[in-house]
Amino acid sequence: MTHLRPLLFQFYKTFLWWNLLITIVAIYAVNLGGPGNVGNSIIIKLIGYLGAWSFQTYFYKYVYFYYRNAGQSVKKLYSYTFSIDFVTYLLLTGSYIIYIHYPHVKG
Amino acid sequence: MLKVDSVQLDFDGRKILQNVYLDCKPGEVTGLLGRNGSGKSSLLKIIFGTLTPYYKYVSIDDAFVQKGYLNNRIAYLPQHNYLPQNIVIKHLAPMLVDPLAWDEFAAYPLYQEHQHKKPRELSGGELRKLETLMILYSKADYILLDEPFTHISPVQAEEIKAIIRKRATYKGFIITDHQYYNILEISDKIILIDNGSTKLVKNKEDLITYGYLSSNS
Repeated sequence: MTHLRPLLFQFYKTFLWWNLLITIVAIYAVNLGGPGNVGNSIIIKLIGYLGAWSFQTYFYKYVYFYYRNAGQSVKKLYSYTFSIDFVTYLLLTGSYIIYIHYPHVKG
Repeated sequence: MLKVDSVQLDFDGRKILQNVYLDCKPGEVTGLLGRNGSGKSSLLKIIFGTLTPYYKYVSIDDAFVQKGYLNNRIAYLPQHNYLPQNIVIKHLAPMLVDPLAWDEFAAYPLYQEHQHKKPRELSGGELRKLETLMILYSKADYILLDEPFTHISPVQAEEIKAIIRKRATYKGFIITDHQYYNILEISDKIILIDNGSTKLVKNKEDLITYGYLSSNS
């Protein structure tokens, strides 16, 4: 039993509000510049991940020992949680673009 | 058996560890002594897999281990606090504690009393004891304790020693602490790190010979 799911949730909880804020800003960038601004929006998200990782590593690195004592690699926790967050962001951005800019696709 | 061999570690060209060998069997408590800066904590981190030396050979049952913490092979109590401060204790403990030992762990008054709180709501001493208990009751086969007797009262130290003795019936322990008398009392085997090398210590006189203790100690 590795408890991966609850550990992922506990790990992500620290970044939840930050990542949500960055997602809103990134989608707002698409709102301002249209679908052509998706590249910049993705860059905002990537900067957000770098900020989250830097903040955690600089100020709260000690908690990594908790996750390691639970048998998990911190690299794995970052890659899983950020991947899930990024896919969610892509789905939200895609839905937003379709809803706002291509309303006829909605049917 | 956990084996650690040929560890070479240096910082800024200064050799910290060389000619290191130690082993630990389930059911055995290995005490690790050494002066400040001798590399005791570094050695524990190397075994755990969070510090990468120039060279190391760590194995469990003759299989090479790169990161000891993966899959709960090795647990490690660091000198500092390690629990996330914003998560309720009753959600943290089951992630670390061996399900087979859960009832025994959960019966501790410290856990009973504080399980609904977050770690930041506990005093320094309470948190340290809780974190130590979680590691002692970990599901890992080998447990590394870095200064488990520091910053706790003598009564608590006795309690921790009793738990180590109980848990050491089927787990291997490597313990380091500056309170050498606690280490001498609880260990089946003593290893001294002196000039970067490990030396097997047979008795207190050896510690005087190697200059770890003065003859008045």
